[in-house]
Amino acid sequence: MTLVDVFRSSAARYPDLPALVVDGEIQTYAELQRASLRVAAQLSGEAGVRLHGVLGAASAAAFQGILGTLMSGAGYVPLNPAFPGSRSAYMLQASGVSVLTVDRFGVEKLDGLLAEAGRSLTLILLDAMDEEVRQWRASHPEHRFLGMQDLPDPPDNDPVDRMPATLHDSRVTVDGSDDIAYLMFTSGSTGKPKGVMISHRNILSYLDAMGALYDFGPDDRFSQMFDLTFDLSLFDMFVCWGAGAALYVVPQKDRMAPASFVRRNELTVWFSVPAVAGFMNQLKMLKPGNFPSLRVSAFCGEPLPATVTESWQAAAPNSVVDNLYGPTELTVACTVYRWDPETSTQYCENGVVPIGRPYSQLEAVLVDARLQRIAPGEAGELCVRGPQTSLGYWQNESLTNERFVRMPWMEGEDNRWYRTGDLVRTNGNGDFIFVGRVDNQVKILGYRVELGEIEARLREHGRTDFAIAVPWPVKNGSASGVVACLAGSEVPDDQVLLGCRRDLPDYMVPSRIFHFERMPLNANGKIDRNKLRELVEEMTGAAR
Amino acid sequence: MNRQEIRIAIGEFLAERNNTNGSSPVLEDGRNLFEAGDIDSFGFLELLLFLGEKTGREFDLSDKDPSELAAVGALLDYFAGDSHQN
Repeated sequence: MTLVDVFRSSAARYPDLPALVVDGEIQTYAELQRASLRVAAQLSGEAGVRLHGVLGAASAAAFQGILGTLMSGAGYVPLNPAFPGSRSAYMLQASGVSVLTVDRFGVEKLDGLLAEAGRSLTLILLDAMDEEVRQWRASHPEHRFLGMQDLPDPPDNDPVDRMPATLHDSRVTVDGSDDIAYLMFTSGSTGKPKGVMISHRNILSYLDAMGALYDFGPDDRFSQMFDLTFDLSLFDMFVCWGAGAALYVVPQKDRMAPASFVRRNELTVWFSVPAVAGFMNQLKMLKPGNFPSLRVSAFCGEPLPATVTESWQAAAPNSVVDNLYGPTELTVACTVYRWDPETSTQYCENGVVPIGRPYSQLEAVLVDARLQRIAPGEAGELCVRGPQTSLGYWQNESLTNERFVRMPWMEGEDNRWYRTGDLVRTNGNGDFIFVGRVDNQVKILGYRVELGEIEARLREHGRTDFAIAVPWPVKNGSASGVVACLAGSEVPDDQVLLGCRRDLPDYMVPSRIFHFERMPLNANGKIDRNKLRELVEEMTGAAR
Repeated sequence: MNRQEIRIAIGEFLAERNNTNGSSPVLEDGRNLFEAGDIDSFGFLELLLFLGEKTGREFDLSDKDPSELAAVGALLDYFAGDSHQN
């Protein structure tokens, strides 16, 4: 069984129900399947390839690109049109992808990507008319361009009849393939993004856990909030489609506060980073009873403030409110905490909601630096094993071996754990509480960011050996941006920032640069990041 | 704050956020801050909060998409507390 079966089983059962709603335009399951099969038919003809790229955002074509790629038997590598061309080109190069589908948002940024590609690509422009495709061919003869009109008709005998009736019916027998379903690039501490390989078995196991937690059905209407380069988008797509439900794509311009969208479309399922709920709260959008249609609300990606959760629960009185936690390497999420309006406040620490307990098919332990289990109540690094544990990092065996480890106190083949790098403690109620990181990874607006990657670019463009990135401002344990601290750089700030903008996504580009004669050092002679954070606070005043 | 003061405040916010050394685009009423590339959706919400704080205006967006306020004139109407005057 693969992710394709999840979609196809619903398409067979509910062909005329809405699968996807973009800008008010509805695609039924049958329509979405047919469009995706056309893409698949083309991609299937591309020989010897296991991964294809999808350059797109909130469009029907982007979802057709993903489904078509999966239906062709390949895994997909999502690329974000908002990212600099050099970053997407690196991901293509690193993953060996030479064929990609492109939607209208991707076409707007295609010049930047092609300028950095450095080799011939095949680009399937899913939203382009004939004339536009001809223009691309004329202006970039070194690449191969195809439009929708060039794609073959899909086969008539799509074998949907042998698919399980629904994902939920097949829960007990889920046994996915070990082929890669998607390769998701995350920020890398050494200065380059790293690709996390997620197999069909991994993601099907996650969907199985969701099936156990929630009772979704074809009457549900899901929000689609996450960028396709964010693995939380897998929940949006395949939990929704596995239930035969409709996926409502939130327009890009409204993504940070789409309260009106929820009401207008009477959504029943909401999933976002907490920052979005925080913004809605600040903008007075979370009035009691404002979201009566919601029955499931889930948050993931960064610490969830208790105050925001209380407001959300009041705004969505008919909804459960869940805090999900998990790194990409553990396939979307691996623990859950369900908010109880009566009792949960007492279990929050530092104003943040617990991250809960692992899904039933996963095992979690807290360990010290020598991988020994820590005493109850102490903070330790959270390590998790089970069927959602990633295959590892793409073509990076040493990093895979560093992060996916065997415990010295355990025997057997199942002794393979992912070290999350998150410091976690168990509270009196038996739930995990997120304490912090063991390294320099941070979350900015829910995006996972290795400060080392920003610092590598700062050193390069600032022509200095001393560059530190400091998350700022920070509220409720979550950062909404980053600033740079440089010592010994004589490059003008605008030049440094220009270089960063060329290489990094917006959320990783420092908003300001602070210069120091020399960096403050701690007792070990290392640059004192905490001191720098204090200095930044002093120089900026309270966070705006 | 009157419309002109709010317009100046928007300009100052954009200049600081975009690191433009104090210079900001010409903020005519018809300018859509998204379409002009002046700001992203996250920055726009920060701008709304900033203007709410500056003007002391109690705003209610429970039934409105923030992007409906993306034009400078719409922002001025909203935060100056009056209806269309332009």
